[in-house]
Amino acid sequence: MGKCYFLAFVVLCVVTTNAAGQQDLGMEVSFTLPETALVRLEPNNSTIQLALTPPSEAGARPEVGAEAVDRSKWINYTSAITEDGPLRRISAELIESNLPEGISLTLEATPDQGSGAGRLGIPSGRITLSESPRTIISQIGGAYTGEGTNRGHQLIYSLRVDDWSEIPSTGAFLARVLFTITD
Amino acid sequence: MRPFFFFSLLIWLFTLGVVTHLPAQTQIQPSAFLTFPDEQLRVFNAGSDIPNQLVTGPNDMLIDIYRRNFIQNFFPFEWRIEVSRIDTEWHPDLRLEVRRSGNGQGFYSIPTGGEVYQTIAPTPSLLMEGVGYRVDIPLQFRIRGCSVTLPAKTYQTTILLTLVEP
Repeated sequence: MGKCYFLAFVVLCVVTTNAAGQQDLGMEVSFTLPETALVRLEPNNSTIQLALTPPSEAGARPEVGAEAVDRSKWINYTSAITEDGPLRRISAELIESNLPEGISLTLEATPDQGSGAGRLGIPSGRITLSESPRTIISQIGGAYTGEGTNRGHQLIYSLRVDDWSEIPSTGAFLARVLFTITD
Repeated sequence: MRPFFFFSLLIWLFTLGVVTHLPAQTQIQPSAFLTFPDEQLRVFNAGSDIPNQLVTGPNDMLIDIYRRNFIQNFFPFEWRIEVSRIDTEWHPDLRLEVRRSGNGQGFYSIPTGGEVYQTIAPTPSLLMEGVGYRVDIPLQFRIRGCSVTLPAKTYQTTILLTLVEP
């Protein structure tokens, strides 16, 4: 009988003993940051008006004055590139134009205004727009400019007279500009 | 009769002791893979950045803590959960965080700790602790620091939940 009680006691000790232990459980986390290339004009892509200033005296030459320059547009962009991927650029080209001979449309992007972050682009300086794409901003990496006017790069459009003798006396002309962000 | 009774009792107690001499178990529902909705990783407007943080739903991930011997679940046992991570492809600007978004169900007091988001580091840290059988404890995860300024690629890490019985 005494042995039975002793064995029961031993077993009860076993039953009530908690097994200290440790168990690991793994959970995989995965997500992909996608490549992105977005560009947009602000405040909108509405038409801008440029004009040559008519002369104030007979015989005087028309002037390329303040009305021949527009600074109302800004360009915003977002770019996400791979680690070894090429940097991006923004180009501009005329896709529809009936500008007369003797007049050119130039475009210049200012440096970024500092509302974004990342590797923002470097302006290329003033270019003359043509039917071939011309780079206006280059060396864009992973970056964003911020949204809206006064963010990103300001665009400066201006008329340039190459040959006064080719300019008609009057007229309205249209030019449509396409912006593209590419590798 | 009495020797037979005590012999049967010993056999029963021995079996119970062997079976219950096992540590607690934990499991994850519905799966061991954490994913985020695609729209949380998309840029909708030129000039803007990716939303800075990715967040799972408050009940997307549930964990259970129990003993394999069902009877033993009626008895209290202390436990704690530690959390850490093992990186496969990560970025130092990314912060992975976790919080306990609910109490689950069980027989004893609700767990303590983990109500506030805490960073999951490569070294283990205490997430929560409790007593006894507890199931459907919801965990919510958050990743902060996402940006287009980071390289575009797939980022991977493994979250390690360690159940410890002191």
